[in-house]
Amino acid sequence: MGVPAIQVSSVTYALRGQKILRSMGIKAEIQRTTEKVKGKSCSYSIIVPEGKKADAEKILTKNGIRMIGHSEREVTD
Amino acid sequence: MIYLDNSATTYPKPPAVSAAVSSAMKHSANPGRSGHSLSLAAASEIYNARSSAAGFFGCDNEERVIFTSGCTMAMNMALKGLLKKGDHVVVSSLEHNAVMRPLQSLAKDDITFTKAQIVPFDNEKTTDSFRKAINAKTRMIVCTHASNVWGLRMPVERLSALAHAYGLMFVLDAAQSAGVAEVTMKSGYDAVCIAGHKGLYGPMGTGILILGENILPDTIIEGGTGSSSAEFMQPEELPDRFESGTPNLPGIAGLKTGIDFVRKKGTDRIFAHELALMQYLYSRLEKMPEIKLYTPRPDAEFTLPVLSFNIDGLSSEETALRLSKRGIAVRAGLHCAPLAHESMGTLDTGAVRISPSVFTSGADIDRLIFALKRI
Repeated sequence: MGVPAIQVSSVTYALRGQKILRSMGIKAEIQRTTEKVKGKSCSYSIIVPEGKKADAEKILTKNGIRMIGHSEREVTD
Repeated sequence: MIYLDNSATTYPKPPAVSAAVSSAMKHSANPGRSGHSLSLAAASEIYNARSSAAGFFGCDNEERVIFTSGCTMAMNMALKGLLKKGDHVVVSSLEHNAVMRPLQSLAKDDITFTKAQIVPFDNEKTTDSFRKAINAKTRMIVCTHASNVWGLRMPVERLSALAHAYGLMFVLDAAQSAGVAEVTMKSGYDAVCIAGHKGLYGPMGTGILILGENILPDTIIEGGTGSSSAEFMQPEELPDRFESGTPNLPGIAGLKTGIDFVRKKGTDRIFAHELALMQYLYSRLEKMPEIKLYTPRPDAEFTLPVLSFNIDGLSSEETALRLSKRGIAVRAGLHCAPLAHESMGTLDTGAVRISPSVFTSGADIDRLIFALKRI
């Protein structure tokens, strides 16, 4: 079981998404997407806490941030 | 040196701008390309600059703020990206070559233009000139916010409304106005082209193109964006679509600091300071019989703080040279705006342009007047 990773196509979307989520009280970190996303490559993921994925995706959608995939990411040091 | 050539580029820059450029040179990697901390920090720096510019220019969507190498690049992107074969464009009689040369180049695609004769200090007649120049093929009005030679201010909010009433796009050249006059996307502009190194006090080599909602030009440059790299097609997403290649991070960091500087000072206060200097200069020059002035006294409604003149019997370049020898920097010649000179009958002589900045003082203007009396 890992933490939710929401994939967006560009670093600008990732940074805007992070800013919006943080303003709504959801912790959000940005990482390069490590998982393979169908038909896409070179993207960024917004990492949110476990249990916050649905809320986060709803907020991102409402703010016009197009998501291209999602996955769970192992928590590593 | 007394520097009065701020319409070309502002000098000096605020110390914080130089510090931001230097810091970005020392502490940043390629933004938006990698996942390591230096790259993410660089991406964050650019995002913050984008956000700051969006707020300053009343743009609700940060992604519609595109960083460019200057206002000229922004204008080329807007004109070449938005106009189609056979289109007609209306321009003012004061446009800079940043508008006229791309339009001339587009003549190969049967794109034509009509020059609307502006009437100084008469917004009704100026707007009417634009209206009369519109024809069945017209697709766009392009207009400078203010002449880079004469400071004459165009009624751009009215012209934007006029364009939209006829179903046309309105593209604003804010090279001279951004940072000195209010420029806001709330006025309904479809594209605004901005110089980063003039009234915004950023480094040279910076500019901004802001696109209105539902405006998506074709690209004139394609390449790597750090996103969707498996696809050969240029991404649709903004700003990536228009920002191929490694961004000018030091420049953008400096530009953000420049925008913050202007925001803190206040555009209104900067404008009032500079306009008062030009009104003072005008009142002194009009008492000197050898000085030829071409425009009415600078006025808050109709001009930005730029003033051009000539001295009887001297070419504009000779006047500028003599001032330079006295430690005063001004610009002479045609200022890359032959249309603006044609409008005032100075195409053969050019003119001597005085353009202040927030750092210019009344004592600087007194030194200029003193020097002019002796040449």
